[in-house]
Parts: sequence; structure tokens; C-alpha cells
Amino acid sequence: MMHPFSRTFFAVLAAGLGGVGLASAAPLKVASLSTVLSDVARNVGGDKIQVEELVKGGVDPHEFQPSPSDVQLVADANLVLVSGKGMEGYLSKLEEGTDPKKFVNVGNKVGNSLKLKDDGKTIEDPHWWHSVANVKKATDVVRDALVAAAPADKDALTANAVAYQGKLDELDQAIKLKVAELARDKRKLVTSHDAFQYFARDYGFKIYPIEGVSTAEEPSTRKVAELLTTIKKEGVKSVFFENLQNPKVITQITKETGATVGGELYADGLGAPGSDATTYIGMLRHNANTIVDALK
Amino acid sequence: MVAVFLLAGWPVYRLTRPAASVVTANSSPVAATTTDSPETKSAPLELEAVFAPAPADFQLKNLDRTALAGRGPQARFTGRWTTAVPPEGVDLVVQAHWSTVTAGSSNAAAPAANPAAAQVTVRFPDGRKVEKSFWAGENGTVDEVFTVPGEPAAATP
Repeated sequence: MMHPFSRTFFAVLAAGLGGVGLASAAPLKVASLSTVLSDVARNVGGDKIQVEELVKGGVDPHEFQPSPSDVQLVADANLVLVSGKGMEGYLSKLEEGTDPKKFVNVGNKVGNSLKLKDDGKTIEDPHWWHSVANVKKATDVVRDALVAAAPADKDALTANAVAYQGKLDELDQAIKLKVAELARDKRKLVTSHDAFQYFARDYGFKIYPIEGVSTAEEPSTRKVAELLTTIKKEGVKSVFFENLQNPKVITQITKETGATVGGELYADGLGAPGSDATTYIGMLRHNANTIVDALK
Repeated sequence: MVAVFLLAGWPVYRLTRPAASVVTANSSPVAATTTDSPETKSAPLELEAVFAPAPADFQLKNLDRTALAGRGPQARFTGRWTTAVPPEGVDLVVQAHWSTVTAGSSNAAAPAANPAAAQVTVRFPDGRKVEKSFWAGENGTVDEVFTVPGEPAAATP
């Protein structure tokens, strides 16, 4: 029979070794198909995770196709964060090559979808991150996925999520106050493609998109003509282009309607390094300030 | 513990009890009038702001115009504000400061601070009424937006 002192000694030794093991454990590998989710994951995971961005800032997720090295990153990852709601058309192929259980379809778990008519079909609007409330829910989804993969880090991950959601609350309040500088009947937003419906719902805007939900579409001559009529009739002061779009059509519209170019918006994800939209909070602040300052 | 609950519940009681009388601010509330747009007629709105406890100062703003403003020690303010209300509605920015009240305390051993709250009510000439309550943040201020709907269907009965 083991002496009580020996039992205690070995128990302490085992706990110590366990602690060493945890401290030196490699961070959880998280692959992300969304720049917004990469940012959320960094805020929740902190130094407990290593984020591998497949879709990087400034890259159009509508057009993105994974490369062989991306497929390898997914295979090596513990978790894969998916934007969802139909944004990643390549998703099923990516899932074929690895364990589908490690894919976390954040957008689908967030719910709260807007339905849109696009090219005659009813679809879910995939641009859910333009609602701060949705990103707060996404933070819960990411936290739960990380905790499930690394239960030992639950307390740190939970505290990080709470802190980030507090910043999101401040962001939402700041946007509401900024948008209140603009009369509600002037909240008419002409954008390159139909990506701002969630923002419009939350902050009282009406959207007039030039293209449909996907950037892969080209606006028809008829659609541009209809939009020209609407802009004149509604007295829209400014129109906006996006960081990933060709502003050629916008320029044509401003020439024919007298509306000004309101500036560049970030629609499909974070901006490239060096821009003021390298974080989610920075992106939404930029968009709100640009829209309100131009339409006032 | 009972005292803590009483302190926390006092603002709610003050905001929800029937008003015995209306106290108007010493200084006349600032009233603004806007120019009608072609599609929108102006409406005289009755504004009411009730605080618990009385604020150091407050204002209700729409765009760059002050709709109602005042200072303590009164806790209840009323005024008429004539403005165009388009179908999209109008936003009122509600700003209030309390000089000695905070929403909470970082020291768990300290007595709970008395939370501060405001309630803003807007009455339309046709009898419609919309209202919203606001709680002070940790810095003892309210700085929020109250959307007054233009559509009758969206109003509070």
C-alpha cells in the first residue's frame, strides 16, 4: 500500500507535469474563410489560438477559390470557421478532403437571416456581419467552438468573449449616434452591390444596389437606367463604391445624376493591411462615418 | 440587502408611478421648429422627460436642433416641439448627465450605487404615444438614440 505522503508527492508531481504540458501546448490551429471571423477569433482566442487566414483582407470572398496550400491549411487545422449562408460555394469540396466535423458554419448558427430576391431566386443574404448584433452572436458561436476544442482554456476564452462583446456594444452605440446626425428620410444608400441590407435594417437605411448580392454579376443596362431614375426621384446626394469593386459604373451614375461619390465602403470583409478597416470594429466605423458624412 | 434593493428599485418606481403633477423646468424648455419638406407636414409633439434621480443636465436633440433641455433639481420636464415627421420617423438623441450618481461600483465591498434612469415620452396630436427608458452607464451618463416612428402602425397604443 502506498504511503499517504507518497500519494501526495506523486499527485503534486503529476499536476506539475500536467501544468508544464498545458503551458507549452501548441495553440489551437483555426483556419478561417472569413476576414471578419478571423478578427473575432483573434479577439476571443488571444494567444490560445493561431489563426490561418485563407481569405485575407482585401480579397473578394465571392470570387475566392482555395488553392492546394489552402486545402493543406484546412487539413492541418483543428477548427475551420465558415462565413456561411451560401458565401462559400466551394465549401462542400473543401469538406470532402478532411473531417467535416471541424467546420463551424458561424453564419448559419447566427441565424437572423434576411431573405433577398436575387436573379429571380429567393436567397439568404450572406453579408450578416453588417449587423453588430449578429457579430455579437457570432462571438458566442466562436467561443463555444473554441471551448469545445480546448476546454482547459474555457475561463480565458469566456472572459475574452465578454470583453469583445462589450466593445461591440460600444460600437453599436457609436454608430447609432453617428447615424442620428442624418435625417431618417435621407438614409438612402446607393452601393456597388447588394451587401448592406443588414446595416440598413439596423440603422434605418434604404438600399439601392447597382449589382445583385454577388460581385460576380454585372449590372444590366436596364438596371442602371432604373437606378438613374430612382436616384433623381429620391434626391440621393451621394453614391458609394466598394473596396473590391470597379467604380466605373458609379462614375457613370454620378455624371448622369449629379450625385457625388460618397467614398469607399468595405462590403465583403476587412480591408487590406494599411487600410483603416483591418479590424471589424474599424471597418464598421469607417463605413458609418463615410456614409453619414457624405449624405448629410 | 433590503436597502440595496430599495435603492435599485427607486428609479423604476419613480418612472412608473402615475404623475401627481407636472413640474416644468425653471428655464423654459428650448423648442425648435423645422421647415416642412414638400411631402411632410409639421406636427406639434408634446415631449416629456422624467428622471430618477434629477439629472445635472439633459437635452433631447434632433440633428443640430435642441428639442428639449433642462437642468436639475427638477426631475420632470415637458415641452412642445414642432417638427416635420416623415414616414421614416425622426431620431432624438437623448443625452443626460448625473453629477453624483453612477451605475455601479468596481468595489464589491462598497454599497451599491444608486442607478440613474430617464424616461422620454413623445405624444402626437392624434393621441399616439411612444416612450422609452434609458439607464445611465458606468460613467453616470445616458447618450443614446430614441427613434420616433412616423408610421402610426409602429407607434405604441
